[in-house]
Amino acid sequence: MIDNSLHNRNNSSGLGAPFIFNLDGATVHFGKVKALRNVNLTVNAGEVLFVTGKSGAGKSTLLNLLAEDILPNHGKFHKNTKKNSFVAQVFQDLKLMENKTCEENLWVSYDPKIYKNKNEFHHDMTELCRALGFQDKLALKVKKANGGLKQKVAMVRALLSKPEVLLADEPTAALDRESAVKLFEILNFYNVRKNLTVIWASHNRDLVKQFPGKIVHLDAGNLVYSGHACFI
Amino acid sequence: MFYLNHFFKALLNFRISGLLFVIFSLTLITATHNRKSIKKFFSLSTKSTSLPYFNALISNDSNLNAIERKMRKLPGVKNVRIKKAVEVSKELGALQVDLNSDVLKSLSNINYSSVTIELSNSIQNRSQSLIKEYLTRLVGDKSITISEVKNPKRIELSKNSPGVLMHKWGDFYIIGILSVLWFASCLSFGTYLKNYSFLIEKFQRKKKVDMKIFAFGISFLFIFGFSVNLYFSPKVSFAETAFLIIAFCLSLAVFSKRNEFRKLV
Repeated sequence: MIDNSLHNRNNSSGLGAPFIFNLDGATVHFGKVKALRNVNLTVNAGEVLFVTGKSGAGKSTLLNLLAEDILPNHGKFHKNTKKNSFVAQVFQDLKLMENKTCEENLWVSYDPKIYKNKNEFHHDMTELCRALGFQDKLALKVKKANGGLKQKVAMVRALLSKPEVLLADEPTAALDRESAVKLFEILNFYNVRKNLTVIWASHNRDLVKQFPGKIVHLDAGNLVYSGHACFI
Repeated sequence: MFYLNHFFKALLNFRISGLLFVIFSLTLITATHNRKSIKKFFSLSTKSTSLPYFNALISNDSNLNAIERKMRKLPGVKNVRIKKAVEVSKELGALQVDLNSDVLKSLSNINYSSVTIELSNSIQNRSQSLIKEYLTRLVGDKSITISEVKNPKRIELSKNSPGVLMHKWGDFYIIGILSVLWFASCLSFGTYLKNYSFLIEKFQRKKKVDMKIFAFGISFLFIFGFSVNLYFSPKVSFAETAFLIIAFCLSLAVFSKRNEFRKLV
């Protein structure tokens, strides 16, 4: 059940920062398979949260729940409507249009509500592509691109939509370590400068432990750890 | 314009299902608007004459108009149809493939018009002969050739035979079949459209994009199709308009259903 009225009762977490998402005993099951079991979680604005766990632990289900693509079978999901947060996603299967070029895929994020004109969007797009090192591959069709390039395109597409919250499902799965660090630096820049809330799902706990932020560890649908990486 | 623009983009991206959707939408509108024409097409009563008749070849020297007028006045004569020499020679010309040139040459010298005389159903043999005799006298022995009286074949049709069913319900069958095909194309294109809209919703600050794109697109098709049909036949039937509005609302209702876990094809 989605309850958007919670902000009337409790508009902030214990730390005083306004929360964006709150899960209260959320359980999700697909038929007999329980993907999430009784998860309690609060995500605050401007937070960097890593969701770790093995394959099938429920990371993608948690992200889909936060994106409101699925609803909990039991428990409650609250979204702070006062924050009016726009949520962009980097999907595990990327969801790129294979027959289109990388640039055409990026133009999906062009929203006249947030960009003054197309030139402004084009400028931002070029800057981000340059930062991730693929500005010369924009004309390449996605079906001919390698896994790493596809993942970068998916990430830039999400960032170009200027979200308040970014949900990234295994965004570095096809990237080498250097590219993964560069990607995190960009996200960190957005987090610090633009207060972007980042929720990053990864099965590679060793990688995410190197970055500052909060870690939530899932095991067979149960939330077994929630805290800072240094204490894991 | 944003949603209409994306409707056309979606049509271009998913060409086969998009083209089928457009074709079936426009065909359904046209069929609904021209229901009476479909009914007429399947009607058995317009297929052929149900009266006995005979043909005659008459020399062009005769006064065809006077002959037609006088024959029509005779009791037992229902209809008189005349094909003038020009039409007859056209029909002969069409036979060139089948006949050799000598035969054609001899036929082209003949300057005849064709007359078909339809008689009433209840006419007796004696009266048929009298009518023929009267026609011979009007034209002259040497200028006329008359065929036997032919009775049209009578086919007994049961109530459930396809011909009768199409005669009665042909328009409904056609519109029904087109509706099913349109709805199937709607669902097929709708699946693609939902996936396409999903991306727009995820990366732009818009909601229910799929329904809005579909509503704008289908409205455009319906208005366009309806306008074109009205231009050629400016009659609006309440039942037809109601049917199209119901189809429009039904498709929107199906579209508004929330999809969980949509996946990009």
